[in-house]
Amino acid sequence: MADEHADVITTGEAETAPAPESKPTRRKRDKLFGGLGVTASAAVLAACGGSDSGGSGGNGINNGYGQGGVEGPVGPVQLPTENESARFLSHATFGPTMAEIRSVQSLGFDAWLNQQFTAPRRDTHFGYVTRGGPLGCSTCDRMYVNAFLESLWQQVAEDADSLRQRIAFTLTELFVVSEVNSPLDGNARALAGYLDMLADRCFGNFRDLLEGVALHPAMGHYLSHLRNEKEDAATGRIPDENFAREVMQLFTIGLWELNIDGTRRKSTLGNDIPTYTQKDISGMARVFTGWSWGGPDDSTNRWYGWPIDEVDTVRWDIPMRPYQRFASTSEKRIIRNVVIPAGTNATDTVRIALDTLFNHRNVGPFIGKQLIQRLVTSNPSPEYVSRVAEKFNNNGSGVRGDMRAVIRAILTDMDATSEASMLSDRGGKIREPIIRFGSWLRAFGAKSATGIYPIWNLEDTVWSIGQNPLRAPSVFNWFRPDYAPQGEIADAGLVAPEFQIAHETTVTGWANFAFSTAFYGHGWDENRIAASYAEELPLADDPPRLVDRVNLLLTGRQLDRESKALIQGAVADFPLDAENGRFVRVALCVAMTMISPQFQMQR
Amino acid sequence: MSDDTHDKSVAAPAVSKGINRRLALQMAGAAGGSAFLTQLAAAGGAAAQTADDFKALVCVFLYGGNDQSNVIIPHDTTAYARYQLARPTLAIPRDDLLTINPVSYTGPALGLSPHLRGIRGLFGLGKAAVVANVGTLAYPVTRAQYEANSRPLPFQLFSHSDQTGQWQSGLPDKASRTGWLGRIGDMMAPGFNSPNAISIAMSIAGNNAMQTGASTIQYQITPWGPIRIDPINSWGPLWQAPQATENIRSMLLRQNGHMISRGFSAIYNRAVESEQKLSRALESARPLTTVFPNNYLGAQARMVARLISIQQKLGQRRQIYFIAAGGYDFHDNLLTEQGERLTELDGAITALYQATVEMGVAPNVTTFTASDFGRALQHNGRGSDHGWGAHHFVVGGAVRGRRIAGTMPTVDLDTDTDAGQGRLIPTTSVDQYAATLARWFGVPASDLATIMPNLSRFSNQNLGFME
Repeated sequence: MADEHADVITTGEAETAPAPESKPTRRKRDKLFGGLGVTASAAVLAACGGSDSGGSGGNGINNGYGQGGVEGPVGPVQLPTENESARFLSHATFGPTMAEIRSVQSLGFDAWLNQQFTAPRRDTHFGYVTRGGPLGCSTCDRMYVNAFLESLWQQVAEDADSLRQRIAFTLTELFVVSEVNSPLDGNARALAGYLDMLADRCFGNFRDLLEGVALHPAMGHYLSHLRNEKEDAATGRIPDENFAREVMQLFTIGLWELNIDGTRRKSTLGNDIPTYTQKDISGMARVFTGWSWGGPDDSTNRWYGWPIDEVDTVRWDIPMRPYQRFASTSEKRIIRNVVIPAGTNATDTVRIALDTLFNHRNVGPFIGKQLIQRLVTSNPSPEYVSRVAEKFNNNGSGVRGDMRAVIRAILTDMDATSEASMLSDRGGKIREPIIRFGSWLRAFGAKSATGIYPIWNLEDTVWSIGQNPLRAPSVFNWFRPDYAPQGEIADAGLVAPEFQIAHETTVTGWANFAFSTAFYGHGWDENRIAASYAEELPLADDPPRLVDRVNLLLTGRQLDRESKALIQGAVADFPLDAENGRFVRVALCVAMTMISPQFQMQR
Repeated sequence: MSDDTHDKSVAAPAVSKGINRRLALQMAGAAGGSAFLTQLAAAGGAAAQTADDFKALVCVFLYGGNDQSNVIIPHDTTAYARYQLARPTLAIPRDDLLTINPVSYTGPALGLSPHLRGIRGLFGLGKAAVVANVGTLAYPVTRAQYEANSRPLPFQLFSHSDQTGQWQSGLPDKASRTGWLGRIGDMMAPGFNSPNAISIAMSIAGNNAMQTGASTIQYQITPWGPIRIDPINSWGPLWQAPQATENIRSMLLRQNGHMISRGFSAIYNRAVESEQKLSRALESARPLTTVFPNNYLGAQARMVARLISIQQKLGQRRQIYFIAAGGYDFHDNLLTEQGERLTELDGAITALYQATVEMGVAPNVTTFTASDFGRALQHNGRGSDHGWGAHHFVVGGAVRGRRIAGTMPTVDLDTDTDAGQGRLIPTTSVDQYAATLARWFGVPASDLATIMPNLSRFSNQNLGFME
């Protein structure tokens, strides 16, 4: 595929990615809902990132694009310290637990990652919401979209695949679907099916992840390409451009041509180079026509989601399927001068388009940089972005898009693990509120008497934390990757995306939330999620040791001398012999750590 | 705002050298450089608190890109037929339209969406105007120039994030770190508001680029007022531990030496300081009898009215508000759902106007709408796609109402303002829209270029919709 910009590129290097298979062949698949990614070259590996949960998307697609093996780099391994392990887990999970710190200390980063890449899922979110409760529930009455949030938080709090939990959540912030301002409002199954798809595919190949996103009915609803119809001269109808635009702008290549280090390429005149034009969007809009509800046939009832023989055709747990008679068969010109010939069927059309996007040289730096920003630091160096993007382009075995290689590259990079990176005045980021709450939940094993996690309304800015999973205000997420608050951060040419939701109201909300949560837990009555602080209570009469333990769990021992002194002073000020004296001392220590600069920010 | 903040902003590189120099002059109080500041000083500056000297600008931002073609619709039968032909599945029935009779308008008869009863009433009373086909422009551009790509255009037309950013920054052809309401704030706050007052720019809808200035830092408040930080305000569980409460306060306000942490700590400091001032002032506010719609936008508008009612207590003779509603991105379900949003908008704007009448400040408050972009006229089945120019409303006692400012485009495909699929090439720029509002707010004509640096590229710098 020719590079149409070759004549104006002044910097950057040739793409290393293998070209997509150009012949529109289709391989026979074992199941009805196979993927479109069929350029078989690499060995066929385990389905979808090692998941054997049988959830949505994990339905036996042969991953032709391949992924990394479970082996990390070989050679002598220097095991990380307790503090290094805790810091690593703050990047890789919703927050460390003592058990997981021990695990990373004994295994090392790479072996821990290998274990996580193959850790099975215990349950699916779709299973939880359709059952109406957790696995083995006796009273299964969990309802509405709350059931989805309960499932999400239960997995975050309890499940062994803690890396998958963090990565899947992170992907919900890149490939956004939301209940807010959306036809998905209140739809637990849609959100559950979508998060399952991300969780199932996040350790596979990016090409399959992209296809999962593009063909998921939740995305089809959210960006309105489900039931998008071909152009019609008689009524003047043109295909909906919503998904066509965002799949390029937000999910794959972004607005500007990039170098491998994430900086913008320049034309010979020194200008930024747009990745696409409005004409490309019109072409791409015609690509995403003729797709609707998944199922065994393309009947008109199924297209509209009407019942067939009284069986519900609305399926949130399987990908959309093509309905050829609604699909545009005209010639489609998309980016990079790719022409999809007239008469190409809907499946091949989408396959060619996704292959073209997947093989664009922007994807590695565009997606890689945002993953670094979400997990490690707001301002990765161009070299860090390069190292990750190179792994995206080639995992070392000639495979492009291997998510395991990308995740490993991000989390084990020296800019994520070295002491220098921790002390750097450009490193680190605001810990986003959802992750802060998850850190408390996990560090202290908070649970309710019923075992349910009714955490429904975190987004209230007054009484809660102003952020809630899968409820972003738009497809642009809660914050943009290039958001720079005014003042010295913007002056220095740096960004701090999470600042977009940090203001007088939300920081106040966090302070109030941290204290009420640490002291009283979250929720009410038998469903109140509270920490027993069983491991911390015995330390209540020894403030330095108490502070040290909480410090390790929440910040990887990053509290500075002043923060420690303030917490120790406050803890010692509360009389041990007062009613609940021990408990108040521990809760105070936890809450004050949660409002410390070293916790609200991660380094 | 502390002096410290001022100093930092002045020292920082600003958008342009011109702004930087001007700000530096203002901050230093060097009146010699500006007749404007000399006048202010003569008038007693911020100390003089007279009600008729008060002005407030209220931006209502419609996130998602409001479809202008179903807001103002041709009522004339021939023109309506063309509208219906361009979007047969999206057309509002002609009989449902609320007709309007603008003065000095000679085009085909017009109607408003049936969901805009309140605004239609205000239009008829001369308290609301329409600004037609306004949008981001780097330079005036014709269809031929657009198609030949022979004139510089705004970056990344039709992209939500970019076009929202450009509407708010007022600079569509370069990166900007400030917005035009923020720049107005930079210019007006020193002369009109008490130095100890909370920010001239208050947002009830989250952080936005529009109110970001070089020195202006927007203050965020909820629709129910400012929120108190409990654990430092005699919190129950800690009554036995006064030192703990002190230490909690110190922890909240401190930073760890990293610039991100310094920025965060600055927000906590403002939150603690402003909450006390505002809560006290709001407690003494006279209750309003005007009833606001019981929805989120209505609640935001109500808080604007309450804050206007205490402007003297706050030491503010100029206030700049930002409220917003989301969900206007109707690629789908346009006909069924846009009306619900417009009903909310209509109710909030109408109630806010009524409240200003109740408070006796109707001529002192101007409310205006803005959005990411307009939308294509051509339909995609159940919705419309991203466009460019759009129509907006300006409401208030100082508005020269019952008028259409700018040029109402012909509603059809393939017109001379069609950038393709009926996306409107704007015939009025955001620069002109903003400059007209800024002029009313008190920005001297000679300083408009500081607010809208590209303004000189457009011939008409005052659209005439304000007294």
